[in-house]
Amino acid sequence: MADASAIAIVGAGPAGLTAALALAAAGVRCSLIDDNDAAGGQIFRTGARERAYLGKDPRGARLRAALQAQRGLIDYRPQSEIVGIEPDLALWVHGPAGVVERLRPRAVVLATGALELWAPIPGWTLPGVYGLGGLQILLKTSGVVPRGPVVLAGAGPLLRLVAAQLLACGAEIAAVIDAAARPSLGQLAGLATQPRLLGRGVRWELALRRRRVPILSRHTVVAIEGTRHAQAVEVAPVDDEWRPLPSGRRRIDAAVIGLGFGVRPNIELTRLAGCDHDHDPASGGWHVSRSDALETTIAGLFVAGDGAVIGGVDRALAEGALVAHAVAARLGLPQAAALAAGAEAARRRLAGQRRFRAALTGWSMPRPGMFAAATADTLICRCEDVTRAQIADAVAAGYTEIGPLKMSTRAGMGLCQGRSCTPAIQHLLAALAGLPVAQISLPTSRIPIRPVPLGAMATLGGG
Amino acid sequence: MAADETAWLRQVEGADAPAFVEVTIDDRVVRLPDGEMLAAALLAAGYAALNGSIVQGAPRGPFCLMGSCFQCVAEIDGAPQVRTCRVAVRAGMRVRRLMDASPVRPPDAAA
Repeated sequence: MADASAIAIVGAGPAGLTAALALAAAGVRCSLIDDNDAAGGQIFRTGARERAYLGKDPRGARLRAALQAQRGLIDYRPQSEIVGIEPDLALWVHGPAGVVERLRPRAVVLATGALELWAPIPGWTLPGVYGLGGLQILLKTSGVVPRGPVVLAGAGPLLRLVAAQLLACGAEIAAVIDAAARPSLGQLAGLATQPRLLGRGVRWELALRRRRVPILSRHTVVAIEGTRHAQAVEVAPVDDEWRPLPSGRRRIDAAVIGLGFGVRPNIELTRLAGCDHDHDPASGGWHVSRSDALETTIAGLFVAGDGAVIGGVDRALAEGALVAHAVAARLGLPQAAALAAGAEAARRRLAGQRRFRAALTGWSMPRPGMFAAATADTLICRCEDVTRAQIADAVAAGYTEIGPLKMSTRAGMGLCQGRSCTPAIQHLLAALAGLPVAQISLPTSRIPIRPVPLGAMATLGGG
Repeated sequence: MAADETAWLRQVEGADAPAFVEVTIDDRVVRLPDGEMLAAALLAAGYAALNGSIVQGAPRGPFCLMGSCFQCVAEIDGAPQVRTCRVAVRAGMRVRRLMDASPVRPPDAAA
């Protein structure tokens, strides 16, 4: 079984699952480590029971069945969180038994997907306010849907999808607030290169219009009202950079609010490992640097899917096939030859998606003005209750690097380790210091990146 | 305190209706769907707030539902700060909301 963990794949979403299945089909063993109960990632997410819902992608159940059939070659470890990675690729895995195990694979594929992007606004910490993706997860895993008036706000394709899905379950959608303008003709032409995907978007839009759901383009939520629970939102028009404008504001009653401005790559493990990163708004902001073979600047450490660059499920599926070949070739495995054809086909699929992705990015890429709705009292860091004013004071006092800023304010140092607030802190610091956001250094993290009971570490020996 | 106020979320009825089991929330026995995500079951039962924030003590509850944001933590069977979005409902489970006590600092806080 020594071979079983020569390759470790982290994340059993579309990219990681595809990679593991491609390797298994070629006869190569791997470990597939995933934090969820069931494989599929967020896009193919399921709960204790498979549930039907609008727009459910049948590929998820097929991939789960294929995984089940390949358990002889795939060492699948659900409910296991990676709490550390070292530059020599040692992985710290916190498993369901409550014990942290240190694996020593020869190659690692990170397929950890995306994190949702939020902008702090007054009242966004109230119960009743959820991530847009969170509302969709409640539906997919548990069949739980809102029963009061719902306002969904942010940007990107998920906004209309979640609205249409909740509407189909009988929810009352009071409004959909989209910071982006309607797609231009040029963008529509680009989207039309993938007719199936454009058709889905059009169907969601029509479903909302048929039920007379107000869709406010070029608007954003600037405040959420309520004392112990959300009760209403204040909405404002935005400029081209998504900065709220002072006039034209209105109030909409809402008991359930979903916020999400799109997604960004989850780079916590590549940061921890010490890989090089680049900043590019079109790729989702900060993201890991990769070779054509999807390898990072650390030899043997690969990244595939939305965890590397935001590209959606079809890109993640293609990158899974690409990385399976790349990692086998890196290790000099004879089975690499058998994986080359699948990788070549995936490369062609990726090329075919390029115009669609460019149009989607041009339409919905997050713009920096989205962070301008925070007022002095707005909590930026939810875990440590740090306000915008506290961060501004620290910047004025000379804490213009993100590390010292964190230490002085505790922003980003709570239980979530900055996963929720880091983009907001970066943009706030950039705006206050008058620097481009690409020049704001990334915060460092350290093992364990998620809280681990002390007893769980006690069993850790050497490598 | 009972379920906070109105339950603003509900579980869609389906042919696969789960069995309900008894769970203790604070000092009250509540029936929740067996095997479902605890955070979702609590929301559908009217528990939108599960803890008080660290400085202001303001009510907080589930937000990301994917294990990332840690806003949904509660004490489960004596273990502090468990993410309720990452555990399943089980018969006899004891959930204590952390409304008044400030959450324990993360491990790096002593540094």
